[in-house]
Amino acid sequence: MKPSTLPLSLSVAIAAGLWSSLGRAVDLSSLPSLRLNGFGTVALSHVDGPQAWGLRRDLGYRENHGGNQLRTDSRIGVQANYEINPQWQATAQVLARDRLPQVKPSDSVEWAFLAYQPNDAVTIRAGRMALDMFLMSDQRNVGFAYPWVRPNLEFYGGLPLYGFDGMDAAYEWSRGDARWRVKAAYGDTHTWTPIQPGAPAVEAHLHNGISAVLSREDDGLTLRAAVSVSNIEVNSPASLTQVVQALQSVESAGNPVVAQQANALLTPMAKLSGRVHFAEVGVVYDRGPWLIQAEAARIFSDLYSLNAKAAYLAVGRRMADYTVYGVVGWVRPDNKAAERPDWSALGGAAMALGAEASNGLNSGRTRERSVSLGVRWDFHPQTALKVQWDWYDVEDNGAALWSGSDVRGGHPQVGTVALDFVF
Amino acid sequence: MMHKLVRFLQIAAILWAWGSQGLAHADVHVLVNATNPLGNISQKEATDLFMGRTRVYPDGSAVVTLDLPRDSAVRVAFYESLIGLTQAQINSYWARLMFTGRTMPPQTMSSEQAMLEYLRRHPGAIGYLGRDPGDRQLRTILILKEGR
Repeated sequence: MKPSTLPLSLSVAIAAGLWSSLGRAVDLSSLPSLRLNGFGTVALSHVDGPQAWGLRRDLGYRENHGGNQLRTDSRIGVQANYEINPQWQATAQVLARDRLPQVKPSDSVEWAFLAYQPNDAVTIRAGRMALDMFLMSDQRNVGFAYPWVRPNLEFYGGLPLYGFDGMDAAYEWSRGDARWRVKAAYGDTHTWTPIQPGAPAVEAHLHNGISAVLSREDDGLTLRAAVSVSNIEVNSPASLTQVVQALQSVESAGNPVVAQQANALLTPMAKLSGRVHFAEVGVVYDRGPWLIQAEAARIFSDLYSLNAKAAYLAVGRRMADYTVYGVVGWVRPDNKAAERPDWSALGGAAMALGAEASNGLNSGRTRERSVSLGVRWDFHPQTALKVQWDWYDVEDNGAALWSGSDVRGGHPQVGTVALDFVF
Repeated sequence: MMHKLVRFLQIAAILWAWGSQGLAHADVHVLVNATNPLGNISQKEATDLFMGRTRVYPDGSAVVTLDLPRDSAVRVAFYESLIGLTQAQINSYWARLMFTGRTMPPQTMSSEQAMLEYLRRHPGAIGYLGRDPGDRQLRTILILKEGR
């Protein structure tokens, strides 16, 4: 549901609440109602891996050819928060970062929403808001907020989703020393993503998404679980349509063995809409010198490439202004790699078609693991310097996260120096 | 070039740390307007207020939390005594909450004097100071001892 299509009754309720609360505002007369803040990162990364492999923070970033890259992790954001009164707040955030060329300028508005807090326990928001599906999904652009250079690639790299248009409601309560929070959200989102390395990005729409998040926080220990379900629809690129039509011709040619092989390739390629489910559990232990964060997720859907499980574990140790950390990550697709059919009897064109189709499916799979080691130095209260080294083990038929890759695996290493700041 | 940059950053950090001395080890007084019906509060209640976990006093009335300037040594001492976090950790915490649209940090005042004046005029405000202000219009509701 988009903000512009909010039910009339809800719009009236919001307007009435805003009007009634204007008259009983707490005296903020000598405090600024409008606050401007920002965050940013300047980072240089170097990829040492298979030829022309480039690192992307996620599939929503532009392809690159590896080597030295400034734009992979560099970005800047500005946020305006207008406190109308203690019950009503308006927030907007714009972000400049590397994006795919197809992305519309309006997508630079990360969020713009109106929040209503009728009491200390309830928050209702409407507009464009941060997606709260995973532990770091709403803060992944704010490098200063976490110790490492970027969210774990295996877990977050395949999820170029940041915000949604719709509404959410959160309820918080205390039980003993623990603080509980439950949040439900409903809305639409969309993203651009390449369906395989080197191919033009396609637009994916997620409609009527419903999600729920439950979290518990007590003395530095946060536990959370989230689930969501959406309808997904991916625009079919012309190149894919041609391959699908050619496979359909082969399937209907008569030979039952060939038809079965063609169907095995066709089924995952032709299915570009359906339902997608996310489920996640996460834990953060942040007390004293230790920071431990772990997350596991399961994604399953009607679409071939959107069926996977992923997890990571991060451990950090603070020593004065330094935080030394290590992160391990892992992702596995549910589907087996597509087999290349032997259609030599059908001629060269059929052979090429079988190879193109199977390679296309396999180059869209993600099957890899990684180890990252690094240090964050908080040399100023608002600025941190990070140095990080990553090692990846990318298996054959599992290199979809890497720009410029094909079906072959590899062992790229990445070194990054990043300066994160807030203002 | 990299070596020079690291050296420069190290010197900047040492100078910053040196400049943060002074009041960093004094007791910190948490203050409200004298007309505020709130009695003394616990350290946990103060933590909930200043860390944005609640927006109201225990009696349900709205609260306006105030901070001293970012470069204030009292501010550093306050958060270290309150919750044991450095300013960098506090800023990282607020970056997580603020830039994800969850809640906003306390209002930063331009000086101690500005904080005192605001507290005198606004019953709903809560702030802190590195000393007893000795002001009848204000009331200390919590003293954070050095090293707590």
